[in-house]
Order: sequence, then structure tokens, then C-alpha cells
Amino acid sequence: MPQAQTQALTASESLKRIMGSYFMGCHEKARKGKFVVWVAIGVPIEVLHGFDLVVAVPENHSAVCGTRKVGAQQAQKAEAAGYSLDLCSYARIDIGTALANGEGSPSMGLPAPNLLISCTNNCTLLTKWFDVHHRRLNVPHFIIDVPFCYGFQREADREYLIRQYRALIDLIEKMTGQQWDEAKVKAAWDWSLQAYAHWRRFLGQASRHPAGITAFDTFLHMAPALTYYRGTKVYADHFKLLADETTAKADKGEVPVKDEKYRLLWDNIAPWHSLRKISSALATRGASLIYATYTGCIGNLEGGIEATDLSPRPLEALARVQNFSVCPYGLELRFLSIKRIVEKLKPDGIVFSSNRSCKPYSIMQLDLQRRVEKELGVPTVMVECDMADERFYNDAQAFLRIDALLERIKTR
Amino acid sequence: MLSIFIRKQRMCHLEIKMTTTKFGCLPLYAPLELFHSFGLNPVTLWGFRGPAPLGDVHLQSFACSVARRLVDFILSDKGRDLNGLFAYNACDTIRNLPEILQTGLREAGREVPVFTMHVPQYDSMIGRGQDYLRTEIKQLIAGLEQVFHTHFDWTKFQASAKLFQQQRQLAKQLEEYVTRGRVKFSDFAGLLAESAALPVETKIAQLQDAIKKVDIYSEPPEVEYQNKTIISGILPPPPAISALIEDTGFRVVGNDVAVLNRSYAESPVIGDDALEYYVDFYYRHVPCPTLLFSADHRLERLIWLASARGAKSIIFVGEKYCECEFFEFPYLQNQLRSRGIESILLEVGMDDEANIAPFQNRIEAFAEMLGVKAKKTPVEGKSTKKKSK
Repeated sequence: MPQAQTQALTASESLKRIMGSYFMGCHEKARKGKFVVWVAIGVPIEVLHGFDLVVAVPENHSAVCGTRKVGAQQAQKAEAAGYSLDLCSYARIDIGTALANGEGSPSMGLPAPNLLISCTNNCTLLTKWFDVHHRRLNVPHFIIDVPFCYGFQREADREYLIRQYRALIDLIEKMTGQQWDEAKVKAAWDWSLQAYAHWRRFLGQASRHPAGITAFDTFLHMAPALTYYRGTKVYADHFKLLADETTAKADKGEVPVKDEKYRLLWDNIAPWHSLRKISSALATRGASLIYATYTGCIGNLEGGIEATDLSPRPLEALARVQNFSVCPYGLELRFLSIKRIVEKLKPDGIVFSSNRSCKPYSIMQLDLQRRVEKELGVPTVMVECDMADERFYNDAQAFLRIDALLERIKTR
Repeated sequence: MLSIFIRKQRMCHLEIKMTTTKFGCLPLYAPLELFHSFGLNPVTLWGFRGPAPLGDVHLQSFACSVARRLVDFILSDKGRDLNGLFAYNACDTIRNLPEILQTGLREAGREVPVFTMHVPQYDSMIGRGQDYLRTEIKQLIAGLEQVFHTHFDWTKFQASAKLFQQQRQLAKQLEEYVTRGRVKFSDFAGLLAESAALPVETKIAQLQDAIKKVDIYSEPPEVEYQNKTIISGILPPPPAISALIEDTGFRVVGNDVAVLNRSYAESPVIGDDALEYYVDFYYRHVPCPTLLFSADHRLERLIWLASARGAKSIIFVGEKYCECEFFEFPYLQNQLRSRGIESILLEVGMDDEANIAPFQNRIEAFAEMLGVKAKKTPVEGKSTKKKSK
């Protein structure tokens, strides 16, 4: 994996450089004939560092399209080919971009894959989405099947995942002729652990009053975690730079929302198309989105366990962190993780973003919202959103509700 | 073609007060035999119709009608007599339902045990999932033993498995009558899909009764190739749309519907081990997009079905918001077209039974494109009943 130079840069410059290098790197290395793998974000990229591969992440590409406001345009290309408007916008953007051979995408799409690896961790939908490419391109599709978590991960689930990783390694060895190098995976896992520790330090700036970061910073800076830089020195260095820089700024009183009257949490994927708009609108109201469940789960399991405390054996640890994100959690674990963060950050309110594109994240929110209000006594609001297709987000409607929440908080 | 079931009978279960205790299984393919062998009365909770006010309290409008209606059923008075619930990872929505249901039940002051299981979702050829599945079934058995204070009994399991085998066999037999035009698909689907939430013994009795009634009628004349169609989807079309399809001149000669053919076409081998029975049940299942390891075989299954039944077309009934199905339609439709099989996709949601005019236009246009010959209006008073000897 290339090691980008991150010294003497600001965190924003570092981020820009990493993302540019990732997309360019994917295309360049693929052109040179390297074996290309497309993975879902829940796939343990560190395991793949045991090989010399190009690892591309379609979800990341779709989020970038959303941020650059070409999400709807790319999604329409899939809709024109018969894919329903009700399907996940990440999937529609990715399929639309692939069908258009990258045209319209800020990165000219992704290089064609030799192997697809999805997982059921975040959603089953991902496997159906990758099946579209599997059939269209006639390339193998390996599914990592992650049992849904109604409670903490069971020993049997962990063993089951490790068996699947071994089968995946066998498959890649057969397809590439390369030999998997476990030492490289161990090194990759160590870099990820370092990165997680810095990420937690960065997130910790939300505890300050006013908060040293907003959730919008976390949305943007999580991007390297969704590239092949995960498990590299570049990844760890970037998060170190980010945490150091943010801490230093906050120490000097340089914070995103100086006049912080309301401290809010966000539950669901970032609305990539409207980050600046929402962030500005909140800031003018003295509201700061200090934490998001979407980014808060990185490096943290089931709402409380730190990844740094896991087994030193990489496959075992990586099987354990299949439970890192929020989507594979049932209602109990989701509530538990929100409860812990509410106790820690004591927010004034929570914005639940009901995201029609992400059913696993959204489908239990009505019950979660009621329970949070009832048991934790935190005012909440539900807004309608879509993470990457701006056609399903209405700013005026969302802020009508957010304003009502702020009024409610004010009158408490 | 004869209508053997009256509409009133078809709809009656919707108002059924559950007089005997039932064990509710969330769709799609639950290990019903296992629950039955424990003396429980397992029913698969789908096929409900109408609005779902309690479902809408817990699920957003972008959840499918199957989920919203079953949540409504369980949490309303209609589900009051359920003595247990079971769910597996059938889809992203259903995997979230166990805890949502438990919350709703607790709020209503009801305590119902909820059992969950993870069905491994990949190719059985690799064999990675089979051990895990065996462990899951073992744990399910242990859970049932603990909650219902009964021990698993192989003899009872065999008897239960035979009962479900009989029900599947009878469903296949009745489907044959549909293929030959002796039973309307709308009636057949009405009987099976809408009685999905009834106990196996009742279903067997209903099927036997239906077959007996059909047996006294003679076979109608064969229809033209272009009139023959296959229906595919999670649920069959709502009754009004099924009737519309047949009234337009189509004869539904086969189905690839999850609640119908996909549920009864294959019966696992009853060997000497319940764990192996379920390995066979899941891994030799009729292809279904929700069983991820089988999804690649759905196209060949559809092609085979169309060819075996002599159908020129396939009508896909897309359950709105069912991602498992909707990701596959463009591929299936393109592939089928390249093989000379035309298809149409009807997207059916919560309120579509009341708004069938758009479906009528599309179905008629599809029929016209295929050259489907309109059905002859039956001559008044002329019976097709067999003369008694």
C-alpha cells in the first residue's frame, strides 16, 4: 500500500490528499494489472493487507458522489436501467456510475473488480447490490455472513466468522496465486488500533463546553476508514494529526460553535448532500451537533468495548470488530450505546434521522426514540432524510422539526 | 375453469379470533415442524390484508406491508393468543422485528417468549454454514425445552415432519389443477396465501376438501401458448389484481411465489436427525432472493418453470420496499427477454387493492403485446360438471 506523506499538513489537507490518492491509486494500480477487490465497508480490510491488492469501497464512492451533489444524477442512471427509486441510494449511485462507465462521478467511478466481497454486517441489501455486479460482470461474489446482534457477540459467532475469513483467504490465494501473509495483517491491525485510539481522542473533544468538534468534522474525517488506507501508517498518522490538531485548537478556544446553546446528537448516516447547509443552519441557532452514532462507533464495540482491549490475534480481533458499527445491533444494544453516550456527553437533545435508504439503521428508530425520551429524559425529534439522494431531503421540513426541538429544549 | 372457493370463505381468516393458542413464526421459512413436534401450533404470520395502525406506530412507511401488517396483527387483539414468536434473519426489516415486537408486547402488558435463529447465508457447497446451522437449531431446541418444559422427541418430530410433507404434497397437487385450468389461480392463492396463518391440520383439511371438489369437474380446453403465464414474487397479487390478470385472458400455469410454490415445492428428507433435516430444508430450498446462497439459481428456476409449463410470460409482483426482490428484477427481466420470455413488473404496496385501475391498464397492455386471446364469456346455464355415472 502506498504511504502518503502527511507530515506538516493540516488535517484537512491530509484528508484531501489521502482521498485523492485513494481514488487515483485505485485506477492507476488497476491499469497496471493489479487484482481489484470491491468490498463493503464492514469487510475487515486489514485481512486483505495480507495480499497485494487494489481494494475499492463502493459505499465510500457513493458518499463522495453525495457530498459532491451528483448523487441524484448518478442514481438516475440506475433508475433508468430499471432499479427502483425505493432502493438504497448508495446502491443506485454505484450501479448507475458503473453502468455509465464512471461518467459523471468525481472519481470516474472505480476500476472494474476481479472479486466482490460483501457482508451482512450492515445490511443484507449489500449482498443483493453486489450480486448486481456479480451477474453483470461475471465475477465471484464472496459473502461474509455476520449474525445479527441481539446481544453481545457469542463465541460461536466469532468462530464462525474466523472460518469464513479463512475461506476468503483460500479463495484469494487461488484467484491471485499470492500467498497470504499473516504478519502483514498483524501489522495492519496494529495500525488500525493506533488509529482507533487517536480517533477516540478526537471524539473526546466533544466533551468540552463548548465542544471542540462537531459531528460534521467526524463525518468528513471518517473517510480514510472506508478506504484501503485502513490498517496502514497513513491511516494512523492521519488520525493522530487530526486528534493533535483538534486538541490544540480547542485548548486555544478555537471551537466550531463558540456560542453553543444546544448540544445535540445525530442518529443515522450523514446527509452527505447537505452537510454544509445543515451545519451552518444549526450554528446560526447556537446548536452544535456534538456526536453522531454513525461515527462514534468506530473503534468501539457494542456501545462500550474499546477495540484496543481486544485479542492480539488479528483474525480473532477482526471477527470481534465485525460488531463495531451500529447497523448489526438490535434495539437493546442500540439503546445501550445511546445511553452510554448520553451519560457521558449529557446532550440537550437527539435528532433521529429516519433514512429511507438505510432500513437497518432506521427501522427501529420509532421505538428507540420513544425509549430514549422515556428512560433517559432527553428531548428528541425525527427528521426525514436520505444519505446520498438529495431528492429525498427537504431542508425546510427538517428544520421545522429541529426548531421545534430547540424550542422544547429552551422551555425546559 | 371453476371457482371452487367463495370469496367470503377466502377472507374469513382475517377476522379469525385465535381460539386455540398459536405459535407465531415471522416470514419466510421457519422450522415449523420443530415447533409442531413440541406440541405447539405453529403458523407463519403473513397473508394479512388491510390497514396496519399498530404496525405504523412501530415502523416507518418505507417498511414493506408484510412487516407492517404482521406487527399490527401480533400487537393487536388478533394476536392475543400467541404463546410464542420466532424470527430468523430473513431480511433487514425482519431481523429488527423481534425486539420491536417485544417492546410493543411489554407496553401492552403481554409477555410472549421470542425465539431467534441465524440462518447462515452462503453457498452450502463450501460447507461453512452447515455446522453453524446445526448449532443454531440445537440452541433453538434447548430454548424451546426450557420455555415450554417439554423435551424434544424424535418420534414426534417425524410425525410432525410427515404432516408438513403431506400439506406440501397436497398444495402441489392443487397447483397441478391450476396449471391445467381446473382451478383459478386467484382461488388457489386465496386459499393458500390467505390461510398461511392457519394451523397445518386445518390447511390439510382445506386442501383435501378443495381437491375433492375439483375432482368432480372436467378439464377445460387448453389455452393458447401466449395466454399462459407464471406469477413470481413474495406474495401473490392481491385478490382483485389476481382476478384482473385472469379476466384479461391469462391462465396462470405456475408460480414462483414465496408464500406458495417456494414454500411447498421441496420437502426435506426425513432421515434420522432433525439437524440434518434442516440442513436439507434450507440448503435444498427452492431459490429465493432472501436465501442469499440460492439467489443465483432463481433465473434458471424461472426458465425451467416457464418451459415446463409452456408459459410465454412471467408477471412479477414486487412487494413495495422489498429490496431482496427489487435488486433482482432488472437482471431477471433482461435475461428472460433474451430467452424469449416476456415479463412485467407490478409494484404492489399497502393501499394498492383499492387502486387497481393503473394495474388494469398495464395488465391489458401486456396482454395485448403478447397477443393474449381474451377469455370467452361462459354461456349462461351451461355446466362443465362431469356427468355422474
